Amino acid sequence: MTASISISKLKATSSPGVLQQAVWSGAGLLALLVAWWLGSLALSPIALPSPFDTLSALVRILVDGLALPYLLETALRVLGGFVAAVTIGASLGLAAGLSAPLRFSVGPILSMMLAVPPIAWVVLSLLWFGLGGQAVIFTIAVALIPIVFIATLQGMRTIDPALVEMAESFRLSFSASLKEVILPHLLSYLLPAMVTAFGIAWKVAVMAELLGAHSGLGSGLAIARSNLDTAESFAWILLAVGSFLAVQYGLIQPLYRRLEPWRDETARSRRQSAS
Amino acid sequence: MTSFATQPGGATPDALAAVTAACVELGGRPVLQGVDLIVEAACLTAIIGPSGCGKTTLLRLLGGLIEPTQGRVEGKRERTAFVFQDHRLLPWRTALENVALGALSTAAGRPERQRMAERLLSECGLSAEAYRLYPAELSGGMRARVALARALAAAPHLLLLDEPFNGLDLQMRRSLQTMLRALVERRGLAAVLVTHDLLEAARIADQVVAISASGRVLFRERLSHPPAKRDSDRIQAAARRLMQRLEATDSDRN
Repeated sequence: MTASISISKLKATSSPGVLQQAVWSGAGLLALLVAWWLGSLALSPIALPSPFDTLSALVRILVDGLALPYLLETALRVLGGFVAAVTIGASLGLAAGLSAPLRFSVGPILSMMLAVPPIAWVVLSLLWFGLGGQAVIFTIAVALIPIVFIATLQGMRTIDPALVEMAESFRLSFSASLKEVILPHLLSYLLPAMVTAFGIAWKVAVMAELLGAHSGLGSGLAIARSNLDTAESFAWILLAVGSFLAVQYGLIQPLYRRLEPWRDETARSRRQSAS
Repeated sequence: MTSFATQPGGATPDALAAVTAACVELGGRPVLQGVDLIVEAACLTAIIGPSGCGKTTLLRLLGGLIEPTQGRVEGKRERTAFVFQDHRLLPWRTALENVALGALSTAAGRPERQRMAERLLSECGLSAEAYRLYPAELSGGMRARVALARALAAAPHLLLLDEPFNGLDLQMRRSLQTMLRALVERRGLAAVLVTHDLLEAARIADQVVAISASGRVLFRERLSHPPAKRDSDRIQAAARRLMQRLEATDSDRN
């Protein structure tokens, strides 16, 4: 038996069909549910409520009319903080990529900001803005800006100088070069960073709301915790996870494919078979 | 027509650009030394010489991407277009969009650029099914055609080609060489082609300029028959002569 395995073989075996993927994913989730249910039989409902109690708590908060407005509020805060972070982080990263003095002056500050734990930003934003949505949006934005900045700067560093020279040879204006050469290249770095940043934004939002807001998913979780209602706490967590996954797979992944169609393997093979 | 008072060997009426006693240093190292070159309309000039002798630098000089350390470059350089060795197509744009990019600096609007790109791709022999493909989905020959069409989209007077057919099979090279020659004649373009292939130079060039390893002009030769009238024997003979002249000049200098 040979010990050497080629990377191409590994890649080939790591890409099963869609149906096979669904079967494996479903089996994993089912195993988790069974483990949860068995755990709930062994422990008290305060420590671990059963999946059925959690489901009934989820239905209750949805029917009571509390969950959806809170979910919407959290989503709007995430969106606000996320858009602010992407706008500021990407603009700064772009400018720093074009200007060495700016890169050297802003780079260390943003690296420092990256090292600040999000919970520290929550505390500071509560001191600066008080309880409410502003503190949540600020915390999300300030936690994400360094991530977006560093990704953009990395993208600027890796722009192919041959393509820049090509743009110069065709006498493209700065705005045309930006649109045709720089931004599409930056997307390769920005999109993965944005996916990561979105996940962090969602977590930071719930954390900031838990500590300093009167509404939102985090606030719902805080109320359930103070009532020692573990099933409802689980329900809020499920709602947060479910809505994150819905946005991730329903919005961000399709957007990803739309923005970088030239990387889409499926579309590529479809085109090749058509041509 | 442009004429240049300082042209070595006298001005020609069709001169489009002229390099006069140009020296270029890159990173403190002399790359080109005292180079003179006249580029004429409807004329294909082949630049030959060993690797690293400054052939590409000469093209960049003509295209205005660099300025000479000494000497002058004059002429209609604002209407130049490059076909690069590695083609340099944008991987995130389709063949059609890559060609349309060549016309971005012109006054043409978006629909006009699109129509122009389709027409040029057709003129350069790319099949319509390939228009919407990305560069990674195209063969080497198709990419060369797209790069050539993109250069033509800039409506150039001067076409600068840096070993554009490298790495292609012989049949594809022949086909693209014939197409390039036809484009030069049909459009009255001045074209400068950097090549290592003496047969390519002998087949399609009007004049050949040889550069030495030290970045000086070794010799210039105006090929005797129009390319359309060169048969295989003439091409082989011209290539052999060019090789002999290169070797003779090299041994003289040694």
